[in-house]
Amino acid sequence: MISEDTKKNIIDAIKYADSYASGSKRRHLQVTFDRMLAELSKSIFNEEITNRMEFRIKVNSTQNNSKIILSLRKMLKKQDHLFSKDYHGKTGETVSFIKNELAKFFEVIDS
Amino acid sequence: MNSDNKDIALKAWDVYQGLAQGMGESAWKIRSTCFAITSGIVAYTYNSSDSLLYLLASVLCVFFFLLESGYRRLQHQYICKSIDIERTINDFIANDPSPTFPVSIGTDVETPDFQSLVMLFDLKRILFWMPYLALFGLTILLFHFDVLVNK
Repeated sequence: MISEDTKKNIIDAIKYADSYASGSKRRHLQVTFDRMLAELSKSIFNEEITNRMEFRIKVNSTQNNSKIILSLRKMLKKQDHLFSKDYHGKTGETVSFIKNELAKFFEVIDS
Repeated sequence: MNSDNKDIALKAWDVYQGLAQGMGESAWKIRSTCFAITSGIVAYTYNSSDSLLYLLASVLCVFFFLLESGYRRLQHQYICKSIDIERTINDFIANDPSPTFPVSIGTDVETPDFQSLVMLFDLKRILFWMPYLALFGLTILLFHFDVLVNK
């Protein structure tokens, strides 16, 4: 479902969430997150995605209510905390997203 | 989310955007007034016989800075409210079965506090505070070195 390389990067971000909340590491995580969604889209819908919103619409519209889909819905709902512009310098929301929604999604995937 | 809720969210977003825009415009007016008055005082003082008036310009810089910072902090609160509504709108676009709603919709804001003032000095906001700092520093230097045309 998710490649080992992507998984490794995300797990590292969950482990050191604070350092991934700003700067280049945050941008790196954003790219990895997008890659993860692309891999998930290919795996779940067998389709490429053009953007996160399109993927979110598909996930919300699917009749499949498996644990992974439910967890994915919750994570995608809060994804803007990772992608919001950091002009205001608020890193708390990003850290919270990594430690909660992203970490919980990975727990479901691993279970 | 029903159609009425969506309309309320969009209307609230529109109101917040308008308020944030108004705050921004007021802040720019305060800034331009500050620069015009301070420049006038500096020019007058340079041609006068007493450099003490340079200090008046410094004090005015601080006053206008505090005034503008108040507007900027209020604007920031409306921008935050706007972002909350944008999340609701995004949930609606994404066909989310249980869209996120802000705790409440309202135009009331917190009184700007000292902590939010300190946050304005962030390096990212250099274009906000640097002109005031430069003007303040310049008038202090002019006073310190007693720069007058007839000296």
